[in-house]
Amino acid sequence: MGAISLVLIGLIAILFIDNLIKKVLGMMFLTDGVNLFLVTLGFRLDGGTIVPIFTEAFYESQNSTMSAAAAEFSSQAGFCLPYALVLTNIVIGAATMAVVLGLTIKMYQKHNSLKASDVLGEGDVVG
Amino acid sequence: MVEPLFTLKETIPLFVVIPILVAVISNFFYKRSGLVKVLVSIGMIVLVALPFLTTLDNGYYVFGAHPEVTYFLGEGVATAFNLGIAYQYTQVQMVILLAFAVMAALSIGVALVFREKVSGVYLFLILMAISCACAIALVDDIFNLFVFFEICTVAQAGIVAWLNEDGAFRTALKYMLLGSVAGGMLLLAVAFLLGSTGVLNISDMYEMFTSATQRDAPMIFMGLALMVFAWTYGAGLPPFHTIKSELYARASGEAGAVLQAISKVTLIAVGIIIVRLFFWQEVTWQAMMVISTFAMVIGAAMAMVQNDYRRLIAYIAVNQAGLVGIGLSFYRRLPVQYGPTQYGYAWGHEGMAYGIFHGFNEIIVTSALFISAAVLLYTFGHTRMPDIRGIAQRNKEFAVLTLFSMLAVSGVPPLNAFQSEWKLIQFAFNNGFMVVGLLMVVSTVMVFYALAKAFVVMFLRPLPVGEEPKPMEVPFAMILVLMVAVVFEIFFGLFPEIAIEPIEAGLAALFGG
Repeated sequence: MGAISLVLIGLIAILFIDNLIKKVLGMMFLTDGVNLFLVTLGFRLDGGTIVPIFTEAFYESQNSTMSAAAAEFSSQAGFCLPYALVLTNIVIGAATMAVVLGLTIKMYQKHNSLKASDVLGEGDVVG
Repeated sequence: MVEPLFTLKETIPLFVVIPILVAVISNFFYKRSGLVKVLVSIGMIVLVALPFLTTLDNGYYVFGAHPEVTYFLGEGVATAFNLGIAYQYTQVQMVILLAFAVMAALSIGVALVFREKVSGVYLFLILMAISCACAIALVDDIFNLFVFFEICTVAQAGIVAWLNEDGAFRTALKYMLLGSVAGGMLLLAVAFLLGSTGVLNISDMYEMFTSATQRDAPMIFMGLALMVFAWTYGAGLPPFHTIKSELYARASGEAGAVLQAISKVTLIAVGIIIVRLFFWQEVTWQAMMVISTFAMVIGAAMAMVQNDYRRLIAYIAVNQAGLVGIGLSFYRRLPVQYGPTQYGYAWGHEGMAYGIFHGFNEIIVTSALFISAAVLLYTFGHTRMPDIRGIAQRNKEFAVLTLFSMLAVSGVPPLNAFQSEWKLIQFAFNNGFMVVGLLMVVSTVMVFYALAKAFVVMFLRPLPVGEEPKPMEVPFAMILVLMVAVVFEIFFGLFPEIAIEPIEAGLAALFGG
């Protein structure tokens, strides 16, 4: 529910809010919502209940050999593939955000306004 | 047995690696124009050569040498999976990437010759976009598709923003904002499909969906809807046709040619992925056909009312994307009569092959038209049609070469786009898609009218009385691009089977016969 809410808030901000910075924030919400969805998917897919990081604390809590603890860990850990996707998406999201913010700054310098209707409004398309 | 050290299968990732490598190096040496020109020229020659060097025999490349893993899921599902990122190279990819590489190389050649001092940053962005388009065409991993889709969006926006004009920034920002929505939706589609299947490899998903009996999970339908949404954005189909045509029109002429070619590659590649994953669901074919038909009609209608040549071509690119999309949507169950009383169904491989062939033709023809717009921009400083006249009096060579591309895109025989449009229209009528077939004919006539008007106004309208026709200098690089396009147009118009047969073989490899 949290992930879906974030995605919806992001979509509404990008499509309907008339402020460029709020649109950029909407992009962040959207990206974070999708990332959260992927994280929850990691637990749902394998039926895992713990984060897939093998810690010393887990090993000690098992009170058994390393191989037995590792086997127990793999049966309890979530599916780790979605975390790799989230990591990649964070990097892509940061790069995209940088470009959008750069363009927003340029538009603000030209128009002295952050209102999307002023800055992105229809004009003569071909200069 | 001793394995060969080097097989030409290893060249598959070079389609992506070479442009990235050249992009990074040329960006590093951005101040040394001569060196950048040499590097980019070598990179482009290698890119054009790659389709001829790469093997088609088992053209499947898995990164990191990850082996196929046997992992039994259950009866009627799948038994083996690819764990690494994979690229698939069949005849379909070969044909599309060949056309794309040729037109991208020629367009970059125009930029190198046209601009005395080339910008390393500008070439970096174009090369990154080219690399992403190659990756999107080859990729067999759905998350990797998303990654390159996103990078492609940033690179395309950057190409337009590089012009450093208010309008260019505005278009780039709008494109990026919409791109963030489309990219987010594509990643959600990836998540839904991963949640439904547990894998990211497209061929593995295809195998699972082909053999599974239960395929109607709501998550899969969500994945389908979101992927179609991302496809419309990447390909410039409605509701994104306006921003896409604005993007083409805003870019410099040669960049516009590359951008529209990228859209065509995305249209075909992502379209094939959607059909492969969701072929079993009727709503896939219907959604693709409705969206594509709308693009075709609206593109032709908008082209008729344009006064600017670049915008006219941009809308024609949208119209032609619609035709390609209709071809892709023909991959569906079609009723077939085997004998006097025997009926059955067959999959519409043929229609899809014609759609891809049309995409192949369009990459060439529309790129040539964008280059002709670049010539006008170079000569007149604008592309407003009412203010341009008498080109045929000033440069007959340029007028004739442009006329060929205009006739080709209008579907005039015996040129290449006529062959593909004719085959698509025939396929539509033969298989009961009467309305779509009629709309295809009508839109072709509308495009012909729009281009004929443009040619009469700009090329044939005589100069005002008393004005001496000054010779119009056109750089040889631009004339060369137009000449190569005309050779392609005539050759594939006379021998369409040379492209259609490999495409059909590639589709058989992708869809298992």
